Amino acid sequence: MEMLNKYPIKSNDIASRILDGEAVVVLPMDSIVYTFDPVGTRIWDLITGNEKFFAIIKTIQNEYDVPAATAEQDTVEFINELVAKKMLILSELPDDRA
Amino acid sequence: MKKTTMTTLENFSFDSSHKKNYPYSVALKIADLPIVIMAENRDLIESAKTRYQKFLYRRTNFCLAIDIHLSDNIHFPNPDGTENFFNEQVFQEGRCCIRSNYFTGYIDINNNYGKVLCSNFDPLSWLEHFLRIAYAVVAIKNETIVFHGAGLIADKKGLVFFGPSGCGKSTVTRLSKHCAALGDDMIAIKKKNDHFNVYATPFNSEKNGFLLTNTEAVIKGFYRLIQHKTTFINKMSRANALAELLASISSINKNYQGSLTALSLCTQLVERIPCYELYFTPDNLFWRFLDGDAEQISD
Repeated sequence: MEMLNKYPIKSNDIASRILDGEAVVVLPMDSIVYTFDPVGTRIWDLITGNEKFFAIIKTIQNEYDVPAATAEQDTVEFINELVAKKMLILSELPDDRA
Repeated sequence: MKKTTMTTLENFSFDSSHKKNYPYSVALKIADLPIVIMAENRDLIESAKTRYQKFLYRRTNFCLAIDIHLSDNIHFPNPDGTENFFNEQVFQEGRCCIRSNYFTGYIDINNNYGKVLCSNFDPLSWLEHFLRIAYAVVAIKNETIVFHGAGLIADKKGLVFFGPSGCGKSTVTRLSKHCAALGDDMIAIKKKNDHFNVYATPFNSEKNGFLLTNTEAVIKGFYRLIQHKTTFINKMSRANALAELLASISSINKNYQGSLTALSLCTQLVERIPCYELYFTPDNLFWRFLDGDAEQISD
């Protein structure tokens, strides 16, 4: 898939903090606060702006004891959900702020 | 039905000169932040002095000055085209613009100055709507959180009960007659001398018949209220507590800088102060679950 060659980059309009292995993400424009479970938090942590989508999937496949296809599907679904909620964009280029 | 063209901040001309203040004024201090409200209308200022009598302040240094102008026949239609009440805030170029059906105004965040055009009909009510939002915006700039919660003082320690509307904040306040009530809906939280203190605010509470005590106390615990058929308490994870606290802060709405400040302050709060889920029945049995307060139960 073409999107796996893109760089997930966090939006400028969010604020986040990781506490005890769980990410808390604030979306001020929508007045919403999200918390992520440990796997979601690990993916969030891997989104540095300099890692391609497929590299994040590879890391998750290596770190978790689940079938590679399951890890890929879950990671793709999670990142796509973050894109749909405007917490991320998928960019052709790495994040020049990173 | 009378239709009035919506006055917007673009076509309503405010005199932003700080030197031309209106003749009548009232000064308040809420959570150590002093505010002065100025108006041409003496009756409005006298009503405000009565309404906010526990928060009056007599000095002349302020972190926010607000000019109020009253006008007849003001009604701003809801931007969505309905007759529903609306209340919106927009941040642009250092200003927070605050609008509702019966007022429009702004806060110049960098210059600590605000101006509002209010309807002559029940102006104190519209002033309070504006003031509540304006104060929250200025407070977060001053590292003070305006928090949607109930604040009580028991045994000289502050307890903060919170959760969405209808979760039982007023019920808990009503069932805690042995405590000083700082508010059953909106309180302020501020770091002071390496502690976090909870303060009273004049917003909302006394409409519910509670007599507020304008004081402050070091916070001992946060309690997320959940009505249930039995009473018990669970300690929250810090991340969950952080998310719940942030969700109770209205001033982060559309305010990115405010959100960063709130995130930083709330992270410190959950690192220092325990946060619990308090499942409770509508009686005062819940006090048995608040450490060290069992003897405080009132009959």
